[in-house]
Amino acid sequence: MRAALLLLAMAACSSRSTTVSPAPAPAAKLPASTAPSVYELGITLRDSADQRIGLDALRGGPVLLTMFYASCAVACPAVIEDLRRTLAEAPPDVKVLLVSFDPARDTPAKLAELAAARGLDGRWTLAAADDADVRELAAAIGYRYRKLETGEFFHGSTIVLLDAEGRPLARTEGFNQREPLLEALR
Amino acid sequence: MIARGLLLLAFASVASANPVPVGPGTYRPTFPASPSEAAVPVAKFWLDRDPVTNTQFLAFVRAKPEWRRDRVKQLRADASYLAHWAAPDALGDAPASAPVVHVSWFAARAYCTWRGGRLPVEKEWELAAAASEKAHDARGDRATQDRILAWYAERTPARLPDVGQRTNAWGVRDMHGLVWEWIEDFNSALVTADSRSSGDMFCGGAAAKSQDPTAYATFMRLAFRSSLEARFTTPILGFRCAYDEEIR
Repeated sequence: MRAALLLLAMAACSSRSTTVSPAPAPAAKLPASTAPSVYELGITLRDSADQRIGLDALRGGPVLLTMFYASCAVACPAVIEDLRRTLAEAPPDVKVLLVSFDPARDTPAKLAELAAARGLDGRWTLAAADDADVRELAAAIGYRYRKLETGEFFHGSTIVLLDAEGRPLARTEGFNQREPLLEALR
Repeated sequence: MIARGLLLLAFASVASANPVPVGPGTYRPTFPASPSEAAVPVAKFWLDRDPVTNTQFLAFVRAKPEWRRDRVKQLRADASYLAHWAAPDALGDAPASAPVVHVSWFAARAYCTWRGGRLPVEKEWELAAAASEKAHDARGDRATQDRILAWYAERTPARLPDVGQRTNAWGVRDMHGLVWEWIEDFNSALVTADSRSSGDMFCGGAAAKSQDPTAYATFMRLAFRSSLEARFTTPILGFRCAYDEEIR
């Protein structure tokens, strides 16, 4: 058992570095991924216009998906800036989906306010989901977060690039990691 | 009428996991993620006395066929999901009363929802697991910790024993010694504001603390959980359910 555990632990360590899978195709067309689609979760979100939308609302084009919470002071604004810079260099059909893991506080109005304050245009969708759904989504894309007793969160900075069918094409951890995402989009 | 009674009885013996009350208590993580998490209150909850067995999980799969291994969505379970069963709806040689393994986090969670419960969170599982046969908190007890570590070092038997091997002070059985268990927040361990610092602790720093057997056993669990993805299934990983209220 120990050997198996150590192998798993080592795999976890090595997977901390940025990985891209599969290798991007040379053609301009987005390569097809063989990973299962995140859209299979069938989760419903509530967006900043107070509309109920499917997790797959952006199906049909590439999506940069990450999670956040609106009252986050430092890390989330940094991720949003990273995403803004990625979008600026990405093909125009690439969109962003930000899913809040703080549904109690991140009401549609709060999300709309954040979008306006940060100047996020129509390429951005901000939404929240129920606690149970949020945890499923986080588990499915390997996004790590934990709620503290204080109501604040510790969380990762994973960004996942989904293909038109919701299959993960590339992922990044940490800030200023645009290149792997852009490369997968080329 | 008699037949119906028998049927109910049969169902009860299959589905009932005899949850027992655990807590309230205080969970003191061996590796607090932050100073504010050094002592975490845990409200009283109910925990399945035993890990979920193959027979119990079979009843679930029959009731919810979307969780059969030939129908489950790839996103929710990898290729070895329930691979130890003879068929998608039959155990075959898989031991009926041994813990079910080869189950993903998604499947474990769906089972607990079906049972009217949920997966325990880390603080609940660790509170229940800190007990020995005699003490609620046996983490300072060298003999208990050595036994847990000895189990971690053992090779997994080809055929898992039945549940009910060892009862702890809460009345919960087999928290250690049979299988590892999924928890709801398996993927929230070791997340700090700066993921790089947790990475250092995870990959190198923890070795320094391994002199303390309690710390080492806890670290092994953290490392194992952190290595998991929600769709993974393995021959050593099962689960049990938790409940906010007493269920019958």
